[in-house]
Amino acid sequence: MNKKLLFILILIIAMVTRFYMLGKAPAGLYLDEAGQGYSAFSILQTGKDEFEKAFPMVFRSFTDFKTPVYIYLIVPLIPVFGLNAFTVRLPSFIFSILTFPVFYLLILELLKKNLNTKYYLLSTIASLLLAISPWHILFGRTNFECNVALFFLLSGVLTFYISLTKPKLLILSAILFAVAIPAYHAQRVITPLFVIILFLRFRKILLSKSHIKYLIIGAILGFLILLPTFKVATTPGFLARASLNIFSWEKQKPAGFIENAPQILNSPVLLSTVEFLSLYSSYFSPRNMFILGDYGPRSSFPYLSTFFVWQFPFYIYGLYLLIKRKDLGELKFFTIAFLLIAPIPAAVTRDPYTTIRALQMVIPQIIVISIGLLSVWEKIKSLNLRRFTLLLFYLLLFYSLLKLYSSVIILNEYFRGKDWNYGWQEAVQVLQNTNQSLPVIVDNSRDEPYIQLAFFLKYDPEKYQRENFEVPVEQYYINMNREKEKHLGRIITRPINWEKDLLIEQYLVGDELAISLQQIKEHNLELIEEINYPDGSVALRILKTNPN
Amino acid sequence: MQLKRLVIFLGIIFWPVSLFINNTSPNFINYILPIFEPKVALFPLIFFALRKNIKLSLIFLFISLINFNRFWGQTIFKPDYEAQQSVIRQTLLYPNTFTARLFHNKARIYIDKFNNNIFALTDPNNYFFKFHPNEIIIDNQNLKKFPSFALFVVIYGLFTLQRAKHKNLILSWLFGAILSLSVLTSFDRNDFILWPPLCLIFVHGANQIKNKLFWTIFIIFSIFELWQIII
Repeated sequence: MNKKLLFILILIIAMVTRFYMLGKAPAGLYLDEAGQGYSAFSILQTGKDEFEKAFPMVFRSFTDFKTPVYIYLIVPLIPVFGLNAFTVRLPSFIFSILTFPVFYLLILELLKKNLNTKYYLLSTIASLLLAISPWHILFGRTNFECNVALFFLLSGVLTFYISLTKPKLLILSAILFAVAIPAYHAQRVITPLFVIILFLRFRKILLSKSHIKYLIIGAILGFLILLPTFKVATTPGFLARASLNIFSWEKQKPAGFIENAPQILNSPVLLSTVEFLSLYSSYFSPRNMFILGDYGPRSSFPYLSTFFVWQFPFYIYGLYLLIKRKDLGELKFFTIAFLLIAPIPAAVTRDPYTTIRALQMVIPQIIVISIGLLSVWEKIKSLNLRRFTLLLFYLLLFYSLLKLYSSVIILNEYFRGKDWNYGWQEAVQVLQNTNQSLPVIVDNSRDEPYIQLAFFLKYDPEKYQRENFEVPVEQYYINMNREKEKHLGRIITRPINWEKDLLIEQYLVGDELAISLQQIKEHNLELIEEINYPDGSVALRILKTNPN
Repeated sequence: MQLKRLVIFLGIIFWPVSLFINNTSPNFINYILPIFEPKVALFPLIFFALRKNIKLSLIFLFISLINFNRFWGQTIFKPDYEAQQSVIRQTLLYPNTFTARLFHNKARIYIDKFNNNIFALTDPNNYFFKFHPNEIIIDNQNLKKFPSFALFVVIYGLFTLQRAKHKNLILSWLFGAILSLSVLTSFDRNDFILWPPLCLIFVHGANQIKNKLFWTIFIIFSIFELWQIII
């Protein structure tokens, strides 16, 4: 079959697996997604985020300080598609699809010196596996910054390799690397490491007469792009995620810590090294890759790991071949370097096998599986056996697609509604049909529903900024204090006060824990609406008080 | 030479020590000498079959048949009412019977349990990091089986296993043990049958690595880790 046609077919599979029910599945909108969407909406309407900061370099949000690139990518989409779940997830989709030509061309570029039909096949197989990769699909249809960052990193690497023969492209490569760094937290480690490795490997070419001029221009441009990031790089806001690392023992002691043991046994060098090694090796563990997957309910699909079980033998065989084979050219160096670097940012944080921080790992691991698959295919010489193998492969492909449909669309919707904060869009619709003169108290004991309310109400950001104050703008990156009570016109988000709130005629909104059936009966509350999760359990209750 | 001996001693002592400390003496003896343990009855059968020793295979097949009932009750094939109910509940979520039955059926229960076991038994973190960061809760003691730095040695040993003198013996033992343990509801502690082949791979790997700095780090870390087990 024509190579281009085959690639287009793969692209169609990738688009279908990522675009089908985009914005609808996962059902609900997680608060981080709503936070990013509302910050983008606020930037669009006022040029400032909801805390009145003009064009921030990291977004304060819930003082978790979100990376900026994804949010700025949402901004131009809002006038076209509106403020909704589809729009906030669209950049993930777009950039996950854009990753395909980059990935395909990158493999070809890396194999350029010994390019022949079988390497086109390797590039094609790898792209196909990426198209059906549960890991890449998850972050290609939900609002997570890591996919966008991965695109910029890979594009930077591709243009870098091309620039070895076309030096002008070094400038573009530097720009792409510079955008990758602020695009996601993990890239603050990965991209500089990769750039250093590439520089060291190709320093002779880069420092040669033909390249040095473009290298300097690229470095200056990259520095300029990163300058706003550097300006805030030492603030507590920028470093907000640093406390998650395994070297910080304030919140949690590392594995192996023994109370009352001699101090030397609890030495940071010993425990942190072993902790790092265990986390690092977990990213190569077949058990995590093919069976367990990510433990996080939003970073995994039910009954589906990061790779399909049938890919396991090819992974092991591919790893063996990657080290043994000598005909893989630059692909061998790239894959090994990427494999070794990719888990570092994830392995210095405590979470076990976190696929968000380690998304870049999907690239070398898919290359490894593809090498294994291609090698098995090459070993089959008999025509009949080849036909049979191809049929088996198509069946596996079909099974994998069905499995994706089962986990991504059916089971995820049913089991993970709560984790994706399902119910607030429905709650807003109900509230819009209630008496607009009455106040609404939304319980926020366990969550931050103000952001979903602001998002689905499309609440005027200027009004929001007037009604809510958290910190002075000049303390945006440094003051970590939070104001839990939020005002959105008649809506206030705070814990329900069962003594005072019953004395006023108003609406109360809360989950099953905040408002039980017994409380409804006891306080003679009028049940306006009960919103259920897809599995039938109660998500939210909307009630009206009866003070008389 | 002295250094290498210390390395090998530290490399192979972790598993028996942690098994001894975490279990009663009679149980410990049963785990290290599982001659009459019906749970591992399948292991010698597979091992000798892989070694193409028909006579011994038939003898162990006969022994397995004697122990069959006690063995069967401890395997993943034992009826699991809760898992079956879960399958039935999940089939109701699908728009058609084909997709429902494709992903949720009785065979799936056994396949999933078998996969869980086999991937746990091939997980490096099981042997070098007490299953951390994905420990098996309740069912497993999560023992420290080898020093953390032995990970590199064992990987290197596996990679160069082709050069090993007894590679066929090691591989038959390894595959036989992994396969026979994978059909158990809980392989914990009985997985000690994996100690000999893994030790041999470790020793093989250790013999190939000459870097003194690595071995110094290995010894320092291993001594502290061993101390942690004993304490």
